Amino acid sequence: MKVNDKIILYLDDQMSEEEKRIFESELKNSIVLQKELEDYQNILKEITEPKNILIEENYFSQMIPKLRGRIEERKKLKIIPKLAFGITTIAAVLIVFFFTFTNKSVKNEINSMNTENAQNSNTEFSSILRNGSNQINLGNLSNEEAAKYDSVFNKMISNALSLTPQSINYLSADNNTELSNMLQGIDQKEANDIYNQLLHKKIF
Amino acid sequence: MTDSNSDFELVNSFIAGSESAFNKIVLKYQQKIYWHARRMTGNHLDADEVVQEVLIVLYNKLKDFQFKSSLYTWIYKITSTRSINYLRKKNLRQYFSFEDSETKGLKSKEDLVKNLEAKEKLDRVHEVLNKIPLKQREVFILRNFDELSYEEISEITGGSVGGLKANYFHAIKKIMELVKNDES
Repeated sequence: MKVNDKIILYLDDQMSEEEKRIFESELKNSIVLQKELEDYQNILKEITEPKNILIEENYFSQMIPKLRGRIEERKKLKIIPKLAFGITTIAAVLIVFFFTFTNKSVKNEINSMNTENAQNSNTEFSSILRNGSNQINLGNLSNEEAAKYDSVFNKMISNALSLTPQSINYLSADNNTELSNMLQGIDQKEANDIYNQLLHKKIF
Repeated sequence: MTDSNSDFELVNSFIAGSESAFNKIVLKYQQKIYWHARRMTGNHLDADEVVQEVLIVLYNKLKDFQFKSSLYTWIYKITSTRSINYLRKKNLRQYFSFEDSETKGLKSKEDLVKNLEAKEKLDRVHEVLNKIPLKQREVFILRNFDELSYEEISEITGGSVGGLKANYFHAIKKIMELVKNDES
């Protein structure tokens, strides 16, 4: 059934004086409207009638003791989250500290080994160059000498670039076969110049 | 509306450390808090949960109350908000829970209203109110049961007077439709 909006506004006292006057005049002249208004009033009364229903009195008398009990419980429970948070934070700090410290010592060890190796390589190569000529002639190198120079040179390169042994394998040449292949296409003089430029740039 | 001088004195006594002042505040407002929560939630058990939450909030926050509104308004604001939040959480829990309707029915039978006729009337009211949206229900309860003006309701809910009037209008319309449809 359709609800009459005007009746709702009238019952809630939301009409202006003019609107109220018009509605009341309509009401006077319409029995149907009067009946409808009465129905709405009865429904509202039925819905809003249960205002002061009595309930068991001891419910309200127990309210304060129950509240006090809950307040005490909550005070105790507040400590547990704080404790848990504290323990978790300390554990996290210890774990971070442990891993940072452990990584640093390992790195320091690797770095000192690399430095030592680099120094050894540099010393060894310098002494090789001092003992021989300052300029290396690739064409005059024996297989053993070439292998020696390459081995020391690779060591220096790997130390300077912090290469892993696997990476060095990709860079290292098979002295006999690959070095010859690399040198194909360029003449002896050019090869010597390139090689010496690289060495002197790095070492001296 | 209420004796604000007395509320002012009680609050100041509590802030000064008097626990008995807080007890007096609870005694003064416990029935209003309970019935507002009951009408919002529709049953005694849920109302009891809300009441306990409201009282704990009162206990913890009363020291920060600055009398920008009356204590009565402030308490109603907490009760309304907590009731609405409780109902929203309950709807979510029911959506995901495996609680069957029989269990729900048993819970709703626990009540402290001993007069059967009164209980039936109350159940009828709750059945109707539970079918209208929360915000409309809130305005309807505050206007018809607590007999507050729209300005007072605006202080409690934070809504505009115009918005509240619209909500009330829709609430009444919906209630009339529901009751008339039941009768026919």
